[in-house]
Formats: sequence, structure tokens, C-alpha cells
Amino acid sequence: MNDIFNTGTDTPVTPPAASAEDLIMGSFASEEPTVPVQPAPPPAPQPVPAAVTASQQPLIEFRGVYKVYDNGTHALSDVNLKIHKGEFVFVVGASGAGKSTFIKLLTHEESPNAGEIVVNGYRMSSIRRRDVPKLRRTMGIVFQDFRLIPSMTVFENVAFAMRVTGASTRSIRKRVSYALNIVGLGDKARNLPTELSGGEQQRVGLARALVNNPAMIIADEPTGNVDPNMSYEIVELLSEINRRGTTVIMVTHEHQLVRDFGRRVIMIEHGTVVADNGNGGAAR
Amino acid sequence: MKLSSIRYLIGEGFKNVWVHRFMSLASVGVLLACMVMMGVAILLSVNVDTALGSLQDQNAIVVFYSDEMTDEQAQIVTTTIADMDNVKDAVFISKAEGLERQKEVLGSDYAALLDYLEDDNPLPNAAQVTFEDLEQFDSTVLAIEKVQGVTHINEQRDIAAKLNSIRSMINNAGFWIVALLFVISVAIVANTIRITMFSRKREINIMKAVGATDSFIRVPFMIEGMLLGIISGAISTGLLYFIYKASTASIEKSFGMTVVPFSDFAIKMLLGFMLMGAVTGVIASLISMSKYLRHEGSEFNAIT
Repeated sequence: MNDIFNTGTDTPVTPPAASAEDLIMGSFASEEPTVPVQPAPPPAPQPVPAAVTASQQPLIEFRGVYKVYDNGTHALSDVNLKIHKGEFVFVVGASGAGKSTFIKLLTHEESPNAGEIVVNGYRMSSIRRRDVPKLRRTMGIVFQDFRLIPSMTVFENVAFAMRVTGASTRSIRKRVSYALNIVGLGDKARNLPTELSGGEQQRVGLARALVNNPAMIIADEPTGNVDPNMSYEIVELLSEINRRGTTVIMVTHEHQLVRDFGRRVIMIEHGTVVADNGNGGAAR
Repeated sequence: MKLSSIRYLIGEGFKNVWVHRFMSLASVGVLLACMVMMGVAILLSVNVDTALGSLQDQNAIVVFYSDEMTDEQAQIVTTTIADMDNVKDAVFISKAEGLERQKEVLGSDYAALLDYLEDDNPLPNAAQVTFEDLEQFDSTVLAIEKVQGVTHINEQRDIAAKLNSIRSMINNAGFWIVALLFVISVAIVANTIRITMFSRKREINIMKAVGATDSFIRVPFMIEGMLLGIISGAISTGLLYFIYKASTASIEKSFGMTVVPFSDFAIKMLLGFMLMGAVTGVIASLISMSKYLRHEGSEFNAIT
């Protein structure tokens, strides 16, 4: 498990990985192995040790995914890709290309019409309704419009995501401070979101996304409503989070940003993946 | 669900009521109106029912015996009737007693007129019979008629039937009024909760995005509905007390009727109304939530 809080934060108290996870992510950590996914037998030319196979199991896998909306829009056609643990992936494409659908399929807001999607061990074709919340607790979502609650303080906005998991008040206080320190807003905990700049608000969104210590961060145009130099700060922060082990998937259409950071890029056009420079890329 | 969550969610429910206090006030007001009307209907039917019940108790029939029977034989027949199904009581009235009763009815001024009849009493032996269940009035009367020695029965079938139908009519009306007002109350609370829900749509969407279960989202709204119901239930019982006190005082004065004292059902009514309020709130919140969670249950990105 990638715990960003255990690798060199400037906070003095750094609990050991196991205890921190048991404290907050107990349910999530224990559930993960209970939903094992056995992908179709991979074309393995030579025998590989079991441990290696397990670690190579992708965090996200799309196999022949099609999505057609009720109104007839073909949002995605035959999408095949793998994203491994620890990767940083940009998903780019013009608006209407299918990027939003891609995210909605990841979070199980939408189901594919054909093909299989596996996210963090959950098969989307057979996931039970009551398991959807568990799936979502394994991901931190960052929105273009921040989605902060204006009547709550910065602290409360971040704490909110932890309350949902049934965390205790004590661990909430602890973790929220960690998360706010990571995004550099430790001193703004008592402010209201409206008192912050756009870039700061998005950093609150980022803190909220990572407070539950998710396996992946999904950022949907996180820099869309932030001025350009702040955009770099946001992506820098995402890179930092990624360096500590969390997988990051960032949807954007800011090509300059993508070029400057030089990461894996998945390009979607008219519902198909037209380019992917990642080695885990298109299976076929 | 964990204890810390439950505490948090209950707090959120209370907060909902307070944050939308004008809406809460409005719905408590309408709920109060509904519950007071319900209460008036219940109190009316309880009183009418009790009054009619006591009237029915007085509704006895008189069975007359053949002149050929001796007093002893007539008494034996009376015990036979008393033992029959649905007969509450049968009281033997001898010829002499019958005459005494007639004198009482006529009053002291005219009673003397009957004195000369004492030697040759024309009245037959009789018995006053009361019934347990007036629904079976006809069949019981028929059965008594068949008893040896009974010559004829003086019955007020019409009055019995009328009392019965009035009683069931009032009970029916009471039931339907309560049922209708209950449905109205549910609709009102559901509407209030829907408004709270829409104003918290953003929050709900974020909750879904961070992995809140449906029940986690639902609980605060259920608490909100329950609270509105319980508050209304408690206040309406208090209001009913004053309404009842004021109206019965004048009724007792002008009609000389005794009413059922409020204390007889005060606790029952308070608990009943609070429970009903709570149930109303829960049903209402489930109605307004289920639609929302079903339609937009999995979405959180589409709405801004």
C-alpha cells in the first residue's frame, strides 16, 4: 500500500505504515485482497515468480471497452489499456473525445456496454451496488470546479471525506492536518473556501482526495479553473504525491503542461485511444 | 455503521432542521394543523362512542309472559333467558312490581288512580332483558320469542339499529379522516426534505464521490424527518389539551353531559402522536430519498 504520509513528510509524527493504515483505512486495506481478479491467462513465455506477477497486475485495466449512451452517442469504442501501480498518466483529447466517459467508467458512474474494466481488483461488469462506495474509497477524485462546500471550513471540507468512511474524530484531526500540510495549507484550516484563491481551493480539493490514502488519484481537468502559474503548482503537487507511490491519472487538454512534465500520455480522439506512449499501454 | 458515524449523522440531522429553520417551521406548522385535526376527530369519536355506548346499555327489551304461568314458573323462565347467548342480564318483574313502576311513571298525582287495580292486576309477569352485542339483536329476539311461556316482546329495534349505525359511521369517519391527514402529513414532510436535499445536492454528490454508502447519505434526512414529526406530535398534544379543556367546559355547562377526561388518554395520545410523527418523517424521507438515490445514485460528475 502506498502511504504518502509515511515517506518523508515534514510532520514530526510519522506512524508506521501498518498502524496508520489500520487506524484509518482498516476496512479498505483488508477488503482489497478479498476481491481477487484473475485476468485472462497472460501470454507468458517463461514462468514468472508469483510475487512478480501480483505486482505486475495492473491497477486499472480496460479490455475492449465500448460505451454508447442512450441518446446514441458513441463515447468510447474498443478501448484497451493498462495502468500500473505508481504510474503518472495524462489523459488528453479534445472536449467530447471521451475523456469524461473514461473517468465515469473508472468511478462506476457509468457502465460499459461491452468489454471489461478492472479497477483496483473490482470488476466493473459484476460489481455489486453496495461495493461501489468501497471502490470509490480506493480513489481520490479531484474536480475541475473544486467541489468544495462553501459553508464549511477548509478543515471540514477535507474531514468530510473521512467521516464518510466512519473514521474517528481523533484520526480525522490527525490525518486532515497531515493532508493539509502536504498541500501547504496547514495554516488555512480555519478559513472558508471563499477566502482562498482558485489555486488554493484546488489544493484543498487535492487534500480531500488524498486524505483517505487512496491507491489512485483521479484528477479531472484539475487546472481548468486555475490560473496558469498555479496550474504548474497543482501538477507539481500531483507529481510529489505520485513520487510517494500513489498512482495519478490526470485528464487535461493543456498540451503545454503535458509536454513540460513528460509523463505517459494517453490520447483519446473520437472515443478511441489514438496514442499511448506508455509501456503498459494498449494490449492489442 | 460505526458509533462515531452515527453520532455525526444524528448531529447532521439536527443541523438540517436548524439550517432550514423556516422550512422546518413551515412544515411543523402544517403538520400541527393536520395532527390537531386528527386529534379533534379522535377525541370526538371517543366521546360520541362512549356516550352511545352508555345509551346502548340502557336499551333493554321487555319480555311479557303468559298469564297462565305462576310467578315461580315465570322466574324459572327468566333464568333460562338470562342463560341464553348474547343476553347480558334478565331481570324478573312481577305483576306487582310492574304496577309499582307504572305508578312511578305517572307520578304521585295520578298514582292513586292505579290503586284500585291492585286487587285485580291486569299486567302480565315480565322481564327486562339487556343484550351484550346489539349486532345480534334480531336473532336473540327471535330466540327469546320461541321460549315457552313468552307471549310477546316489547322491543325498540329501530333505536338499537340507529345507535349502531351512528356509532360505526363515526368510527369510520374518524378512521378516514386520520388516514387522509396522515397521507397529507407524509407529503408535506417529504416536500420539506426534498428541499433540504436539493440544497445539499452538492454535498451529497461529494459524499458519493468519496465513497459514502446510500444509508450514510440517507440517515441525516431520516433524522430530520423524524425530528419534525416528533416536535409536531408533542406540540399538537399540548394544543389539543387546551382545545379540549376549553370546548368541553362549555359543553358540560350547556348540555349537562359528562365527557371523557383528557387525562384518560393524554399519555397515550402524546406517545401515539410522537410515534406517528416519527413514522411520518421516516416514510417521507425514504420517499424523497429513494427517488433521488435511484436516479442519480451513482452520478456525481454530471451535476455542478
